[in-house]
Amino acid sequence: MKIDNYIDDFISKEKEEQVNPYLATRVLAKLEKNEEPVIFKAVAPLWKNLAIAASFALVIAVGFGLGSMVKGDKEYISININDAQLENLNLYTLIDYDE
Amino acid sequence: MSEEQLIEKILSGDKEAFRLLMERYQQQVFRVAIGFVHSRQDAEDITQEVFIRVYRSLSSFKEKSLFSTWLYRITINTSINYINKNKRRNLLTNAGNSLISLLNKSNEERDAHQQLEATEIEKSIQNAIDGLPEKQRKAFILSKYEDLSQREIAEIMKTSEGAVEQLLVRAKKSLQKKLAYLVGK
Repeated sequence: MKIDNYIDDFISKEKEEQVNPYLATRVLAKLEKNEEPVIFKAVAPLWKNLAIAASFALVIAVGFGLGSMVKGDKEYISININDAQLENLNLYTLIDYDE
Repeated sequence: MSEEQLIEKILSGDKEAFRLLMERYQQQVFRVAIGFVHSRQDAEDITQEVFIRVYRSLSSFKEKSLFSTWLYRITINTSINYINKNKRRNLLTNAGNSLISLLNKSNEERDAHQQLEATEIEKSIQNAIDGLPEKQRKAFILSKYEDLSQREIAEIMKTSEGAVEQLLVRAKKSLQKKLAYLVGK
């Protein structure tokens, strides 16, 4: 038997296979099933994002509220300090070193 | 109903029109897929995936080429993706089949032996086709499983007719070389 005949026989056998007659129904069912999550996906992130943003805002507001409720016993004296006088930068830049 | 009318109806949301389109083309998609995977179940999975892709991207189909040309391209791409995705699983299946063949060899009944030989020949042909370089394989499958002309294959593969002819000649030579040992059987 020639090689071409072997190949042709093999291909003819595979070509005889018939597709499942319910395939179209299966595809349509799958498409309909998949359409729902697509809608859900479009709505869910918006809802989620709003919930996350609201919870952040709530936490920050509560933080401010609690913070402003606290009043210390001590009264601190505020001192006006001039930073330029506090530390001489020439020590670090060494501009005047050679002189 | 013409192809254009069907597509128009599908795009306006008519599912029954899509069913008609599938029924019209499912056998050709299935044949190409089986040429790539040699398994009824896998070919059905591919056919299903192809039509889901078609449904989702039908709006991007430009009527510059024939619908069938576009469909063949999707089928080929889906089949190759499917094969690449399931390479590991196929290796395991092949190993399992080899083991079964080995165990069956102990059976000395003549019919079983002949059947085994036929299965081995089929397996060799399948491996030889699967072992062809991608372009040769595409051209070979479209030519042999779909009986398409070189011009049609060239259109699908976006190449020249001369190039398709070369691919088919090389594929034939390669298969004959790989399967030369069958001649003595």
